[in-house]
Amino acid sequence: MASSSDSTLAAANIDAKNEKNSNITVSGKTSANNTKMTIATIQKAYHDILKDPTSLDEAAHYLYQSLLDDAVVGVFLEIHHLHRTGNLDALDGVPEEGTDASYRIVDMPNYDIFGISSVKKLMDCTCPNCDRPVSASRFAPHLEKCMGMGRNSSRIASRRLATKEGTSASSSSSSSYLQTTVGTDDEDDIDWSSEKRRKKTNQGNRNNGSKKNNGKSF
Amino acid sequence: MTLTKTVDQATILSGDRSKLKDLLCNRLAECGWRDEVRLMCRNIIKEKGNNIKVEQLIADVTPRARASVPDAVKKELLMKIKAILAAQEGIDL
Amino acid sequence: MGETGCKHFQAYVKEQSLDTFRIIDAYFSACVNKDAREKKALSCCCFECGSYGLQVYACLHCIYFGCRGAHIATHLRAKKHSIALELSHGTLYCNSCRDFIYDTRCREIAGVNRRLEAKDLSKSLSWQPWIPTPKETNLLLANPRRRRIRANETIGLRGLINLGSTCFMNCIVQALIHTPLLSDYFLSERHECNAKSSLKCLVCEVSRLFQEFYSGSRSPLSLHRLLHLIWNHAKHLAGYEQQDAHEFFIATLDVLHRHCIKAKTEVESANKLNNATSSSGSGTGGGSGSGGHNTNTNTNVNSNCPTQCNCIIDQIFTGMLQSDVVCQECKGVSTTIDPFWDISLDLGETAHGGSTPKTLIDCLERYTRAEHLGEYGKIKCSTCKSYQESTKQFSLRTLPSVASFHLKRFEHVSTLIGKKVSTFISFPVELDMTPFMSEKNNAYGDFRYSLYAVVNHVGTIDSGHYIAYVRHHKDTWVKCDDHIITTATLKQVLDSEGYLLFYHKNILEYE
Repeated sequence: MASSSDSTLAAANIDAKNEKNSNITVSGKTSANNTKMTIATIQKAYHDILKDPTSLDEAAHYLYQSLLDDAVVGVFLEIHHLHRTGNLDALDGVPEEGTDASYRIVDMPNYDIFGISSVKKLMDCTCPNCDRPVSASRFAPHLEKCMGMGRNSSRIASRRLATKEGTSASSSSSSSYLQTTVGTDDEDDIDWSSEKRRKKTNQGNRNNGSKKNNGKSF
Repeated sequence: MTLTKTVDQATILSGDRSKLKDLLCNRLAECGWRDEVRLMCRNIIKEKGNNIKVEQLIADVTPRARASVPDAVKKELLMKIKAILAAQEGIDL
Repeated sequence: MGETGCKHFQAYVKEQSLDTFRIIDAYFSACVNKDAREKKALSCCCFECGSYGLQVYACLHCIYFGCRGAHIATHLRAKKHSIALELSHGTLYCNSCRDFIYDTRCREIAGVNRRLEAKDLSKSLSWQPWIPTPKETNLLLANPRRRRIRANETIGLRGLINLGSTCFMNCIVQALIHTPLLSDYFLSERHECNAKSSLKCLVCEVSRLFQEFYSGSRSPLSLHRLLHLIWNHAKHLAGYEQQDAHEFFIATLDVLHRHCIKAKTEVESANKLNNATSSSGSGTGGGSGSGGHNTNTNTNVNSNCPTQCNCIIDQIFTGMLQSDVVCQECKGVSTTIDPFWDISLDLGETAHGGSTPKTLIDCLERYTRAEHLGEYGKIKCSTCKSYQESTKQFSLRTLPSVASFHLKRFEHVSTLIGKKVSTFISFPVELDMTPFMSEKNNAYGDFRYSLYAVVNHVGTIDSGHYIAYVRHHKDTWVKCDDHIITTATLKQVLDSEGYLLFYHKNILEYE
């Protein structure tokens, strides 16, 4: 990055400094040698400081203090800049009109943090696949059949629609689920959430504690 | 040469000054000190921003900011700085 | 347009250009290389008092260094020089205005110098404060109401309805929503996606979820759209029944990662198209038509090379695992490094007896212990050119910003028979990962993490339920049981069984 003209400025500066410290002898030595000597001097003095526990302590305290003061200036500059650009007020916005009590967390037995008693919610949602309204707590079983993944499902068309989207994350298809899925189309009305079966596929299991990711594609 | 001058020059030479600056900055930000000092600076600027010299503003904030570093953080930083310096000498603290 | 300092600075620039600034900043403020550091160490001291401290200013009109305050001010006033550079933070100062001034071009130059400095010292870039663009300033002014997140308020919390054994999904979503880096990313709208793909993009769906969580609404949410998207893009998970929360977590990260890349390539090709058409059509003056000037200056996303992916998921979750195989014959070491999103930890007995792990630290120690591979596990040594007994040892080369741990509580003897390991494994709220790093002697490194989410499996392997604890605020935890969100104490969290543990790095590094 430094061209020859760049270093002239800096070099000129060093010469000016050297003239101030008249303990540098004027001789045939180049300024580069002088530099090397001074650097070595600094490093020797520094090592001497570090070797002695008291001065090491002093050095650490000095550094902490001056770096802390410097950090204060840094924060000040940040705020100063925001102030100059008018962003300080922009960031602040308008002050809130008193604390809005309606967001306060409720901490009482039999109530959740919103102050609602723990009652099962009945909600509807719209199935993104078939656009029909479906009861939320039965959405998952509906979706399975809707996307043609249920064991006895004959909705090949919706399956084609589903497989058009995105790529398969793995070669093991939903066939492993077909073996273990229980139930037929007749069981739409049964509340599945009461029957929670846990299944873990063997897909991607490695020995040595699976350090790599299951199903992570690169 | 005085101690402070040597320490300044040596840490600039090695690049440690820059790294130590970052170390301190990050730790102070993480413990919430930076946010506190921001608030101090903001209040001072809002009060006196346009009428007072920048020098004075900095001088006003510095002592309060210094004092508000949590003791645990100060201790930790001092220890860390000492360890880094000592490591350069090959000393295992 | 940007900032242009003050009128005195503009006059100065007309006269001297920005070259002096660039050199002084490179040598005495940012110190871009060893030569610069030497010059600074030897010559950058106050001409009045000789101090080398942190409060030195450089005159930009001539060669003069002076301490902040009287030393520099006297010189500037005497020589009628206006502009100086404060060297510790690289800030411009105008003595006629008696104030710090800011110039966009100078900030850009300073940025270049600091990147050079960071590279030279092999350190990460120092943190810089956020500077709102004019567009952002206008947005802030146009929308002055602020929503604050407080420990005792519900903003940021919502219940999630169980859609039929979907508690595993609810728990993972709660953990993700409460991941600070992720919420920063989404709430600052960093994800770009064109309108057509938005409905099919999982990243956009998560973005919408964040809006819901911070909306202030108190009714529980239904994740039916998210479920549909995941089933479409992670076929191996589709199908109604209880799933493993860990598998769902990894699959979700994978789909998010793929959709991030997809959105980015779409945006980039759209930009190229825009630049191409604008440069060919422009007949107006100025440099607006200069071909090839891509406004999108983000680094390349090479989806074939895992270490180069820059998507938010990889930035947050990807760490590097180092594996060292030591040949027992010649002691030669063969090292491989692989990316990981989480660490799965064994809970059972070790191969050579010894105690079972009781804490997370025990598990990690076992994970990173040198393992003798035995006579049936000989590895071909490239130096010895034969199969030799060897040891294998894992260590963490680089750590992700979020470290997720998976305690392997479910064992499958066959597809039908399995058992759950319910032993209590205690985990800390503060975790120091230094002992498990490949490089332990990093004096400047800080590898401390804080717990912020725990996913628990309650019940047996055949019938169970997932709940999550998440950290709402520094000292405030809540329990997420589908749509029922209640307060929780740290003790409750730490006493719980623990299946998935999410830790967030305390001090972040920037590149």
